[in-house]
Amino acid sequence: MSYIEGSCKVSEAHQPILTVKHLTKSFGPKAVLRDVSLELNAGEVLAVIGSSGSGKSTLLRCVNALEEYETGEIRLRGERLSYRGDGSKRRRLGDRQLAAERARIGMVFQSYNLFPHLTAQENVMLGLRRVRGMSRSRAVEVARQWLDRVGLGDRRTHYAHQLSGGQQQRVAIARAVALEPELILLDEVTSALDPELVGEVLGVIRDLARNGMTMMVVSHEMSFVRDVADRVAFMHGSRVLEVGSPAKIFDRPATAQLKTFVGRFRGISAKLSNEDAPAMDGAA
Amino acid sequence: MIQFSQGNFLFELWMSRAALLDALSVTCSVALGGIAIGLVVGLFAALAAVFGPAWLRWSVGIFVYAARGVPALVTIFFVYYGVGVIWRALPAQSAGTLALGLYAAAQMTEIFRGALQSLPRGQIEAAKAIGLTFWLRIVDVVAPLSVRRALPSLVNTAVDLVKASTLVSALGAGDLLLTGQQIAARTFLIPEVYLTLWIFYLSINTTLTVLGRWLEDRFRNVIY
Repeated sequence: MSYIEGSCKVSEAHQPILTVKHLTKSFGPKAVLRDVSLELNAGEVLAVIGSSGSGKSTLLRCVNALEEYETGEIRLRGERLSYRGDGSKRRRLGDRQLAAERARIGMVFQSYNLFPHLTAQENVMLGLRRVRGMSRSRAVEVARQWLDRVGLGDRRTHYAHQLSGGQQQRVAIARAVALEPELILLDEVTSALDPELVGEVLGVIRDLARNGMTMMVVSHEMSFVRDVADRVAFMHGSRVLEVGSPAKIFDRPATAQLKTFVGRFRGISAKLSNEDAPAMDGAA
Repeated sequence: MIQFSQGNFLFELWMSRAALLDALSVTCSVALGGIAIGLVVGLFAALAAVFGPAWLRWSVGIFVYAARGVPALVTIFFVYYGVGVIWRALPAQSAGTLALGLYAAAQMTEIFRGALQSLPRGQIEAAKAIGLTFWLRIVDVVAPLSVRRALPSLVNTAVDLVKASTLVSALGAGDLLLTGQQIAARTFLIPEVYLTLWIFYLSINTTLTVLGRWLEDRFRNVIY
């Protein structure tokens, strides 16, 4: 066995799927991302946490070219996304190239964003037909398979307004993963849901994570993050302040900001269980 | 006894049947031609006004401003007499159709532009996120959603255009109004003839409104 062959294999195995380097973005005078750098390996679930306005969603939207950014770069399997050239020669890619890149990355939104004029099955089929170029019958087959997988086999012909929030979000997840993206971005996907519907959506995501889907997840569901994420990034004031295993982030926070953030969530869950108890007694 | 002979309304109506059918076809083709020009030009002008570069947005803005700020009759005279001098004479009916088409295009540009601008951003982002290119996003998502939203106003404009088609009678195109005037002048059955025109126009517009309702119903699932 030669040394070179061995090192090649190692470097290939360690090439991250996604690399974000020194990303900077501002809306006018307000900086929303300051020198953000992150890596995401194949099969890994990276959770991004932090208070609202810390730049988590913007970061996700930059990865999928839904936002422009001023400096820094994002690479998918080593290939630079969204821009070519540097300095004054830096320019954004054209529509077709951006579309081709976006097709490699799945995204699920807080507000589901199903196409209201299409049924659940047609929502999943649109990208399969138009982007993957599948035949109608093949697209139907794949769409059904994914709708079954997210537990909506019996809702194929329903329109968005005939589905609950949790069901709509599961269709949106099926729509994203059916295209077999190399990476999927989940942007606060349970934040708009009624509490009793959160579980069914998290269950689907947990199932995907277990099957090796590479994911970048922005979430406020701390117990879910702790449970599913391989690594957690904490954002505060437009920066990534800490990255580490869930145990490190939640149990041994290094910065004062993360200590406060984690403490606040503990406070909320403690408060909730205290408030719940007497109310339950009263009802009984 | 009322006799079925000259001077009797039903008799005169029967005698004028060919002229009236011709007139109906002129009115319908002027109105429908104008609506068709308006829909096509309006949709593309609105796409240009919303998604196009600055110079296109400006051009569309000037077109809409000019076409809406002028009485339709002036546009009709301009296209018929003006183009006749500048380029070559157009038949009255073609000139009228073209002028009404421009008039409708200006209205419909604004209707489509409003519908496009009121589309929820999330649906368009979702379309981007699955990797659709600009024109596929337009065809598969933007157009179906905005047509649904624009439909009631489009039907209004179409109804207006049927009424505005009477203006081509000023060019001597044999539409329903001009033909009706000639029959009235010949027979002196003035209330009867104009009541007949009333019924003709009402029938055309009822058909359009029913068609619009049917389309709206077809799109009933598009709720957002």
